[in-house]
Amino acid sequence: MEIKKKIILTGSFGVGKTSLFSRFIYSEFDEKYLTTIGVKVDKKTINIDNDTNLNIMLWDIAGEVAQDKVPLSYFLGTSGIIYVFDLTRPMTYNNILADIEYLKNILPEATVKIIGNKKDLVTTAHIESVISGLPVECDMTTSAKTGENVEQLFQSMGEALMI
Amino acid sequence: MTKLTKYQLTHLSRNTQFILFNIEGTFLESCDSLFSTHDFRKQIVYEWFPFLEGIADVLRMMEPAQEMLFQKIQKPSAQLPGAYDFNILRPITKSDTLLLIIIDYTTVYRQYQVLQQQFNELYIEKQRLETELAAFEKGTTPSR
Repeated sequence: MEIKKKIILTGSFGVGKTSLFSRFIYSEFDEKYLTTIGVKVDKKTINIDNDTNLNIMLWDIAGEVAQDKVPLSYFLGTSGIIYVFDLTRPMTYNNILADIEYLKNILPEATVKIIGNKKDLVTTAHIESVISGLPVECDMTTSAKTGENVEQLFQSMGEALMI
Repeated sequence: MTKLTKYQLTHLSRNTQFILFNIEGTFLESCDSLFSTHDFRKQIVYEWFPFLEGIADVLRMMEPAQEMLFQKIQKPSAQLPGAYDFNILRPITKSDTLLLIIIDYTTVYRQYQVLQQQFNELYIEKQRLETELAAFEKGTTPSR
């Protein structure tokens, strides 16, 4: 059985959404920061179980300081939201509660995963300190640079969308 | 057709492609201004672009006369390597048909991207300095 789902990567700019996108879709990483304008879309199929393949339509949405700045049309048809923040930049998670509430309000049926990226740049103690201070639960920490937890992120999102 | 209409059509056709397909995604017609659809016509139109594939269910539900605009779509396919606006309309007269208008804004959006890049880099640097200043005032160093 083949199922298609749209998943969006969203969050502030410079948090590594495009790097996660490239790591997952193309197994690539580029150190250079190149801002995304608008949206980039590509797809990848993952295996959920012996009978089910999930065709992920992944939307890499240009970062905004607040989610209410993202064009509403980009959210249409979304099944999964990956909200990314940067573990090294507090300003990318200071507004996280309002952002998540906004997203849940406009996409009440969607599955949301909150991700702290760039874990390769910080210590374990720093990660624990950041996560414990968040007003929402962080689902996973990732490194698009090393690839740590990137496949796991999309696999867990895929499995959550099948429930 | 007036002279002005001819000029208008010639000018518009340089950067705009019109594609008609039915609501199930079967190809009907294209002016092929931006890319040739010849090799794709037997495929479902929704599958031409991962972008459209992600919203196919939404497009099938469009009401007659409804219009949707998706701006700044980057590299929607190998045939379209720039940045485009996708305007999708369900004509009121042909209720089972969708009209896709792809407008090539690559030049404009490239310039916009340069400005956005500068803005984002400055904003990130401002955030870094503010974090360091706050830590300095507290007598600590930002933890990493």
